[in-house]
Amino acid sequence: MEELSPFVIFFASIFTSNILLTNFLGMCSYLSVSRELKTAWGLGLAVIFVLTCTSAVNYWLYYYLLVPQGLEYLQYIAFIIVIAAFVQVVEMIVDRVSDRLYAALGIFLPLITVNCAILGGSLFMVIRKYDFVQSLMFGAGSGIGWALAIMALAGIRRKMSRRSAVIPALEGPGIVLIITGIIALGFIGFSGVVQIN
Amino acid sequence: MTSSSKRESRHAGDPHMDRIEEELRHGNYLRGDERRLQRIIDDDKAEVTRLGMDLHEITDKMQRLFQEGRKGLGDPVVVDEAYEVTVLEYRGIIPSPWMDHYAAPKIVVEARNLKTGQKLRFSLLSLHLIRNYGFFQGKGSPFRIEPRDLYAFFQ
Amino acid sequence: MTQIILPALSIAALATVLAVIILIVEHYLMDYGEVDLTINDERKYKVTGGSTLLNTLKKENIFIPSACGGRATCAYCKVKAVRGFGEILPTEEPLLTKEEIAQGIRLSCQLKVKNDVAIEIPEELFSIKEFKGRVEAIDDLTYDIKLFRFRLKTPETIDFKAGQYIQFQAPEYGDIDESVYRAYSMCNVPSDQTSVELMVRLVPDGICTTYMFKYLRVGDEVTFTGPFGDFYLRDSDRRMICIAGGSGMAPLRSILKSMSPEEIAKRRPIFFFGSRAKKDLFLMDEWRAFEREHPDFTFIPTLSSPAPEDNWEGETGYIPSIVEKYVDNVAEAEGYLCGSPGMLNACVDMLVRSGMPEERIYYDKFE
Repeated sequence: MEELSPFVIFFASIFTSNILLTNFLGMCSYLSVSRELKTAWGLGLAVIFVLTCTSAVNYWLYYYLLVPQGLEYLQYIAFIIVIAAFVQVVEMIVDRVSDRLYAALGIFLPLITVNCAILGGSLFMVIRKYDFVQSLMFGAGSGIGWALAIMALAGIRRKMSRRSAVIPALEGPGIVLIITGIIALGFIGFSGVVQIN
Repeated sequence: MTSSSKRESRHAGDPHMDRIEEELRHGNYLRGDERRLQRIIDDDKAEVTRLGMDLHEITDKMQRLFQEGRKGLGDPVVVDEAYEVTVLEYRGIIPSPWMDHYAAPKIVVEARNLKTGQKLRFSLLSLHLIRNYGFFQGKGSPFRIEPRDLYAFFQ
Repeated sequence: MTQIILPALSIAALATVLAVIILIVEHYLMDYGEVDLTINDERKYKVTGGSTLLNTLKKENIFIPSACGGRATCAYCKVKAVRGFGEILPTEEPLLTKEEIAQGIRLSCQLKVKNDVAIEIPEELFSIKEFKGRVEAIDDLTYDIKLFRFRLKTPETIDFKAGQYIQFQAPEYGDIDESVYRAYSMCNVPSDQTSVELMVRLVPDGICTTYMFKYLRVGDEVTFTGPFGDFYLRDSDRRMICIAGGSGMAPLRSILKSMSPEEIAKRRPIFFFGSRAKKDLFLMDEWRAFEREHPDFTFIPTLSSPAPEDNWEGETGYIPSIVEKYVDNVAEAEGYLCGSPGMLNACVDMLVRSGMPEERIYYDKFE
């Protein structure tokens, strides 16, 4: 994977290998927080920030602590612990530094810990053997891709709430999953443009 | 440490809705209804769609009942020759549980459809919640209105 | 063996290191230490930072009015932030007007005290305290209005102006698992410093009134804060036109009964009390006795829809149409009103149409 330019990885992880639409990671918060554009935007921003930073931190953890000790198989536990701790620290920093930012974003941070896209980002970087810069770009790109997906869905849901007559049985999660599938189909059109797997 | 760590996350949910759900549970709006808030709203929304109800139109009609009925100052008033309305007013306000910076005066509207005899009772706060959030309150709440009852009342 | 111990220890070590990092960060970031709180430029307090301004003040026994418990819904807790606070928060914006924001008015339940701060609050707020008392009596006034008397425990006395109200705390009970605060006016006289009397009307499915009517017993402990409100007797020579309905009688009873005979002779208060039927009337004997005691005071009860068996011979109809019958020069008088929003609106309209300037019409703004 050393030949792939970090920028290629960056763009690919937003569009052609969107962590949510191609790999279906991070679906729970995606489904429940996509009702309003404003909250979707807030959560999207938080995901971008956390995904990027934890990719970097977990990179160091993996290659400088786990690998030398032959403990690669502990990555699942180790990554999750780091993500949870990181989110706690970020929450405290935001609370201290800016009341306004905390009021807007603070409530989303605990939600991120359980977002499997965050863990997915770290795991993929290991599986695909990215180097540090590639990992960073991958984290940022995946975050942006996830945020784009949730905002697209929020926009669609908003339009739908005014005009569409959805079959009562599909109201809620049902129609959302169908829409997500259709968006994902659309994104498949991107595949083949660039391969980063 | 921070207040958010006290919240139990049964599954990843919209934190804003979770907070509202907590408010509603404490404030007697869900009263015994075990379903989650989003489910309550979705179920009622399905009913509303099935009946073809326009919530804005219906809440406008409820608002009219209130405005005309208010003129009776506690005595029944006939509105539009179709409804008998009594508006009961009390001193004080109730802040909206939806954290939307709205505080409702304590006013209860009791209406009777003169043709069918059907009765309808709502508070100004419940009107606000139906109109803006499609929230008819949990089953068991004293101010819950079944969408189909509301629909039938204005037929 | 090492194959089990090494990974287990590694994870434990990692978790410990991270936990320590969190604790260190928390210690340095979340501990705001002691900060200076200056109020009205003169009163200075040393407080522990980290809480909201509302709670910080509460710890110093300064009670800012709040009806929603800090959820940014009621906007009662406005204070003027002079310095030390950041930009306006998204939770505050919808509740404040542009002028208020320009003046630095903020919601104290949303502001966090993190450094030295200075605020301005009305001096009256310093006399607001949290009281604990005991229920001394619960009497029925009508089928849906009760009189509650609370004997104060701590503090032992209350200093209020006739016409003010308290915020009563209904605790968790039955299915309700959060306490709520509701406002009720004092109906006893201020000189009665050791107790507080309230007239409370049962609200259908009302959280607080259900508690007071169905759960509260003589001897129980109660909590309330106060006194609040700017509904009280204004100093003037003008005639007083007093209008009330239902539990709105409370502040007017407090005001009228605390006036000296000379004041009553000077102000010649006339009190219109509106109800629907005879069963809604109460304390009639007390008011008739008050009339006999003070010849310059007139009491006019009116019923809007008396029942046939009431055999009502007094005034009927709605108050707005009756006032002019009894008062010659409405425009020169002062109005003291207390009742539900609908009734207030109708009466204010009538008084204004009769020529009374709005500044001379006083009513309880907590509705």
